[in-house]
Amino acid sequence: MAHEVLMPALGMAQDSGVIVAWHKSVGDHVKAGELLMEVETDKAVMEVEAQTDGYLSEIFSGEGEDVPVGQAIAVIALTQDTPASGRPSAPQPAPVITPETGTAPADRPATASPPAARTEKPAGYRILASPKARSLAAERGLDLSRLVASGHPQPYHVADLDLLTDMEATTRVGAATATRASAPALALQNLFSWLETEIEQVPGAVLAAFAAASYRAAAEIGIVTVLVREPTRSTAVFVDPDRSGLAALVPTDTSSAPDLVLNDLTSERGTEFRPGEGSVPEFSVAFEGDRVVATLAATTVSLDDDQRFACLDDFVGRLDEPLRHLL
Amino acid sequence: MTREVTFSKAVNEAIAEEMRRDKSVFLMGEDVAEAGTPFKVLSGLVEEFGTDRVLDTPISEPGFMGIAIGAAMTGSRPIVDLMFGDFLYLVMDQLCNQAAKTHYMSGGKLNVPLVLRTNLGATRRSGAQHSQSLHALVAHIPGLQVALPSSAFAAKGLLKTAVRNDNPVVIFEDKLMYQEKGPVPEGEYQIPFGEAEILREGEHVTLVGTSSMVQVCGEAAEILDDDGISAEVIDPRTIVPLDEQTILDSVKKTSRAVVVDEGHRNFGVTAEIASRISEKAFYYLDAPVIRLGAMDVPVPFSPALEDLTVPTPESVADMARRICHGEHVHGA
Amino acid sequence: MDETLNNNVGQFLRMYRQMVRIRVFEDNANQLYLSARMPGLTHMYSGQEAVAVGICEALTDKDHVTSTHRGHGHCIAKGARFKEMFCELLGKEEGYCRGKGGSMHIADQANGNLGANAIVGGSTGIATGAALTSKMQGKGTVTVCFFGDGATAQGIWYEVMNMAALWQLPVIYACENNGYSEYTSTAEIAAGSIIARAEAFGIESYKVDGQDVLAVNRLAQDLVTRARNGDGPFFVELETYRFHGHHVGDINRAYYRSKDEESEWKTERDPIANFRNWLLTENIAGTDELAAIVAEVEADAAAAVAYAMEAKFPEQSEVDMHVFAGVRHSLPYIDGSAR
Repeated sequence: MAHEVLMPALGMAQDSGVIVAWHKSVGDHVKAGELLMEVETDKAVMEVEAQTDGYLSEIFSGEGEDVPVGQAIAVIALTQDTPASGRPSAPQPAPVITPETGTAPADRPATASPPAARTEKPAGYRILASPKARSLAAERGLDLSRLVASGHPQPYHVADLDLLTDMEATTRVGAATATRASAPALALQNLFSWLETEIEQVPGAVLAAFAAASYRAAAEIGIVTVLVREPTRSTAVFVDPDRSGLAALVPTDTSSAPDLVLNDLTSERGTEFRPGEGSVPEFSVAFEGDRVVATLAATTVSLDDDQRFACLDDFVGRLDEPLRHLL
Repeated sequence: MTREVTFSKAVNEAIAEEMRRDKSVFLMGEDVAEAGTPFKVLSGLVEEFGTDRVLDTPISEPGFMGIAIGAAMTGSRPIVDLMFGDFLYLVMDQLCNQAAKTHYMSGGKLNVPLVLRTNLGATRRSGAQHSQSLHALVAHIPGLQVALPSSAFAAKGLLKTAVRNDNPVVIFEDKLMYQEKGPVPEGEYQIPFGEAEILREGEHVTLVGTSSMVQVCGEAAEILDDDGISAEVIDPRTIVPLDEQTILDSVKKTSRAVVVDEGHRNFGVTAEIASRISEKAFYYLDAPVIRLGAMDVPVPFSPALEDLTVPTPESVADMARRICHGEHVHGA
Repeated sequence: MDETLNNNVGQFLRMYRQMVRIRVFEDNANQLYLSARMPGLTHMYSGQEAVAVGICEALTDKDHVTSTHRGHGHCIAKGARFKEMFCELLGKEEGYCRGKGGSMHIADQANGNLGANAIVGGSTGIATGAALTSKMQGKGTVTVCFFGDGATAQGIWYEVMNMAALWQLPVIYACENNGYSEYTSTAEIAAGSIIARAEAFGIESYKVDGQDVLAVNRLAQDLVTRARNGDGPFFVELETYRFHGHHVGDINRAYYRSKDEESEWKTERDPIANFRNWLLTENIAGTDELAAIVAEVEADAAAAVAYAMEAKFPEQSEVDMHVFAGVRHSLPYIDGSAR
């Protein structure tokens, strides 16, 4: 039995998607949850995962093609030698979900981000792991490629399997999916300079405020606790940072679990995004060239696809025009 | 009753006891009689056994090696003293073409029960021709058995076993250890070949050390203790035969191994043991098996250089620590 | 026939038979090689029979010899049987070395043969060591070390002669100078005098016609007796000739040895033909009697070859047996899994 891969509806008012890149070739084995391709909508480049295990037996739409939502673009067969089905099925009426918070400014340029680090698998890619880690993983049904996808550095040893076990546990309630988007960086960089020189506020505090606001809107939540991680500082926790004045934004001493994690990577140019695998949504923000790039990783338990997209969309909008949102 | 005696005295006792026990045992080599060898290991034996059984030879290593083989084939049990391990090259034809193959080539009808005692070990500032550890050369040859005592206790027990073995056995003594004291029981004992000793139990990494490197591994284990790494230290005691099982059992438990031997690293004892671990405990390994041996250069004279060539407790501990921390060593 | 000769008829005929046995054995081995029925190759002793027989007839079963790559003659002269020898040549289980030695390591160990050695000069130490045991343990046995002129170029021989002389060991170094060191004339590889080399160690040395079995045997009887009494060591250079090339495959050898020279040795100095003439001349035996000996030996050889051809090869499981005394299979032993 073969499984048709359809051009997905990615949560926006979207008629079609452009295939940016295939990460699998015809004949490749794919696993459910493995990165299959990247699709560009009018807003962002989304990474699309395979929904089933099997072999990619046919690709109907190549890179650069604009394909209507719901149309078959590839086939995943159960076995390697399943004959090709010959022709793509006609577009099916697919439920196109318009996000309730779809209020993104129309003038914002669409962002076509480069593929994230985890997509850069060379051909013949092999996971570096100790024989014991490998055999224990096989014995316990753990998938080492998930560690690769998480950006956890190789080679893997037995100790790394604990992390993988946690990740697999998360998978059972819904794997974290990372979505990324970008905006021009200039306004945000100007703001950061001003913060530093005028009120001695750290960028992470402002980013935490933006993230809290975007998350509050998407998830309709009362109190938002944000854990901020920044490579050169110790972690800080802010409670409802979007409800404080900019100057009054100070970390809180709380032991309560965060609702959000914010990785402030803006001090490290060129830092790769390493979406976390925690159970709470995780924003990461970094500068890439003259753009600011944001990633939101979240499980479907904490944010469904629509919410995640809306949340990131809102967040990137704030990064694009920070002063407008602060004032 | 156990006393503390030197390594040298333990060897001397083993020979004396075996010569008293068996009249066919005799001793030959350069300056073995009145001189008692340059290391004074054999002092006093000629007084007890006379020059009929303690034979000073000319400086003719191939010659007296050959004579010992012929004597062994005809009912004697010679113990040959080769003053420095470096002189093995001189006796290779007799040892490897004759002694090692005679039993086989005769279809099992001729035996060569002889013991070749020699030594190994650098850092005595003796230069490139008196400092080598060449046991791997001999261990490579089917028909020879190779013992590597790492203490006074082992020196005596292994030598007594060797004398009673009906085959050619080569014993390498660590010449830096001759004056070191260790506990040795008063009474009769032997150490069987092919039985490794676990000197220290541990959980995180197995340190396999031979001869001079057993102490080094022990000290490395102490250093690792301070880092919270628990190292198991194993001394194979004989490398032919090799007690593979004890090593494999340990590595299966710890998942990591560092093999340390004072022979050159290239194509050496460490390579052999490491490859057996890789072959037979592969799926238990959580890190590449690390080999530490003498640097692959002739042993230099200058202390400033010579000390660089031999593994130390610090270098062993460092490699062990790195693999325990999952470091990507040697680009593995 | 004088009385001395008469008393020794049995010994003479035995020496004749032993030399014939060597010649017939080698002729059969050569045929096995030429007909591709024998694995490997072999070095023919033909032409040198008087050396091995003359000396070994002076020894007892308890006395030792060490032999060389050209060792079939020593093996036979020391009392070996054809059946086990051909089996060994063919790599069969019933060979003296269970097929693990082959032509170059053939030896009937039970008769005091400490092995044929394929390293030139490799057995000189072993022979000297056997003599050392004899002296240390008061066994009264003598060891004869057979080696060729080629081995006189090996250092170990000088080392062990030195020790043998120092320790007065009962060993006789028997240098079979057949004129060629493999494919090179001995004159080209040996400076000065070979006999003088042994004399330099104070070793009593002799040179004898190695084609004259009686001369060889007379000297051997004398030296063996004296060595047994503690007067050793001794050195003997035996002038002899190999009728074949260095080995059975060494056919075209005119570049180092002329056919005229070979022909002269084969016709004028064949040790068997000459001894036969002497036996006939001295009326020790008649032609029929001697012919019967040859016929018996030939029949014995033919039967042994036929037997060996049909004999079984060693079981494959024997491959790691006899590596160590007291260890049945060496491979599990060296891995420590045998304990």
